[in-house]
Amino acid sequence: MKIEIKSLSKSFGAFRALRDIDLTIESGELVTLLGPSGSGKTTLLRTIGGLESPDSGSVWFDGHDATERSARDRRVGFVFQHYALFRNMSVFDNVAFGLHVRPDRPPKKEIAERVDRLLALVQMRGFERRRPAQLSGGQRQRVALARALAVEPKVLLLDEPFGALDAQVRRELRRWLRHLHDEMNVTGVFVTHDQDEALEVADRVVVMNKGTIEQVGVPMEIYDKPATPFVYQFIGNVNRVPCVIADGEARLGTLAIPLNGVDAPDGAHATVFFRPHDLKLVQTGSGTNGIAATVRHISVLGANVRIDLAADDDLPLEAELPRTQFDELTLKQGDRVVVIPNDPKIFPGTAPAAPVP
Amino acid sequence: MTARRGTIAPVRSSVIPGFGPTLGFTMFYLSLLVLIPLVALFLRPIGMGGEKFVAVLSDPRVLASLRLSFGGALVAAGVNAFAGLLLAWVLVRYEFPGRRVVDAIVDLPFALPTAVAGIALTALYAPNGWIGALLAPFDIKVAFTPLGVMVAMIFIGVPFVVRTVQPVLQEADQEVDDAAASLGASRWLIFRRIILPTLLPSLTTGFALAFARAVGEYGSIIFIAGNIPGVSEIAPLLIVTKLEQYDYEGATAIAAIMLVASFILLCIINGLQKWQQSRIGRP
Repeated sequence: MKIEIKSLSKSFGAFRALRDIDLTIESGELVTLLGPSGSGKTTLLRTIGGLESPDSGSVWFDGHDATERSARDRRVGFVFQHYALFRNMSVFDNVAFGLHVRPDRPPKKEIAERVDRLLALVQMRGFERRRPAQLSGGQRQRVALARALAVEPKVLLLDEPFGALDAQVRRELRRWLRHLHDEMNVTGVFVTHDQDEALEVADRVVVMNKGTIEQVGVPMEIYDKPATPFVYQFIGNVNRVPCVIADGEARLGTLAIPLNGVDAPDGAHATVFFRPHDLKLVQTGSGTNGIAATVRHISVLGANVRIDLAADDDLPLEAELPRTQFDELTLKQGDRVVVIPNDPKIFPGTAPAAPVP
Repeated sequence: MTARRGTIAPVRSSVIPGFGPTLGFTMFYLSLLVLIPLVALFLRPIGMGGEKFVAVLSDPRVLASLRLSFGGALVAAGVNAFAGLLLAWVLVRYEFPGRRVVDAIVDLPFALPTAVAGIALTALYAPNGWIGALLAPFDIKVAFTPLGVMVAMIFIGVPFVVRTVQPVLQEADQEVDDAAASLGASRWLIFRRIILPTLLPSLTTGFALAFARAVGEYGSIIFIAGNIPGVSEIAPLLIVTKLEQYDYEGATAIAAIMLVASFILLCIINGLQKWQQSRIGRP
């Protein structure tokens, strides 16, 4: 089912959770809404599911206006962060609930078969008679997923479904969900604040901040070509260096970076962004232009080495090099180096501090 | 805690030690204040012999008073279970101006001296009182009838259900309701199949407390009841009456019966609660 969101706004008291959101989700797509807490991603998801009604704007399912439809009439599957299982019911009854309450309730035998199939799908066969309290977090979430799928929804909405699970289970379930989605003909919307999760699971990522959409794109686009300083900082690590525009170029230490179409007059302040792994380090004295810095700390992260640097004005920088490259450099604490960004990106203005994801 | 159930040994690594002295004090305290008086209560009727005991209990006046005390208390607790659930629901689920005031009013029957409550209720429900006058044209008499007894019992039982259900309702995850709604359940169905089962144990506790209180209530009832023997006379009053007539054995016989009946009823309610809790997956 294709979902269209048209100029959607929603406030809670003075807090504006969603500001004029436009978004189209194609049928069969798995889209993640990624953003820090308070960015409006959950509110957007709940509005799509009919659990929240917008102040203005509309939600369309397959070309039909569904804004006024209640949650029970939308036929969407909803999976919550804290599972929201019915604890007074067995696993079987939880999964069967959606089939039981339907006006066209299937016969008992068919319900039993469907539940059995779903439990097999989520690898929970044999747990039919257990209570939710007797299951682990990962198992509960799988039951919740089976429950949501029981009504054969055209849309599956997942609100930080793996947020309460530990890292190992999370990674497993993530892959498994992606696999499951590929097998089923369902449009998925997945809310998360975890960038790795968003990039791994999604066909497309919607990055949200303060109730607005910052960027929509496939994961690689989001990572390689962030559209705004916010996206740059929120996805992956980034070095930010303030600079001044002069002669149509950004001056960074002894380095001059062409503006490449960025609209900034001479004398304006700007910020240069580049990834820690997307730079070159050379020993001082080779005569190369770049940002002069001192090595503060070296930490080995498996195959990579992270080098904490301090530029001459005490600005902290970070570099991440493969072990082989690092070994050739023979760096040690206190060494002077020159940092040369490979693919720096310039945004006008001074960037605000990075948000805590 | 649950892992320790059934063992007598204290939790060794407890931050706050003192299992021995605290258990000792608990036993001493309960014995002195609860167990010894109750045992004495049973020993007295035994002393008076079976015949007298049976004679007291087959007295129609005594039987009527017991019926009114227990029957009225059951009805009152039932009404309170329903109304208390509604009150708790409104207090937890909705924001409205004056909510805190309403919340405080719920506790008033706790705080009010029972005699004051009794006088106020009598004044209101007497045939010439504010409410009594409104009901008089319909030939409904509240004061000085069994109905009046129940009104007083309902009044003093209000806080129990509200205060036991409220925290459970507060704790209940509203996402569970959302989940049920997205699966296509109607509001009534969500309430009946999802919310009510999780509330039942606390509702039962509130019912039991309100019931126990209503059985034992004296002060607020005797004014509004009118105390007509065999009609609107409650068992506790009959005990007092017998005591005033120096019929100590008769009084203790009624008391012993009330004790046994209360005990049995509370046991049943407790069992019911255990069963409900097992149904919602809590140990």
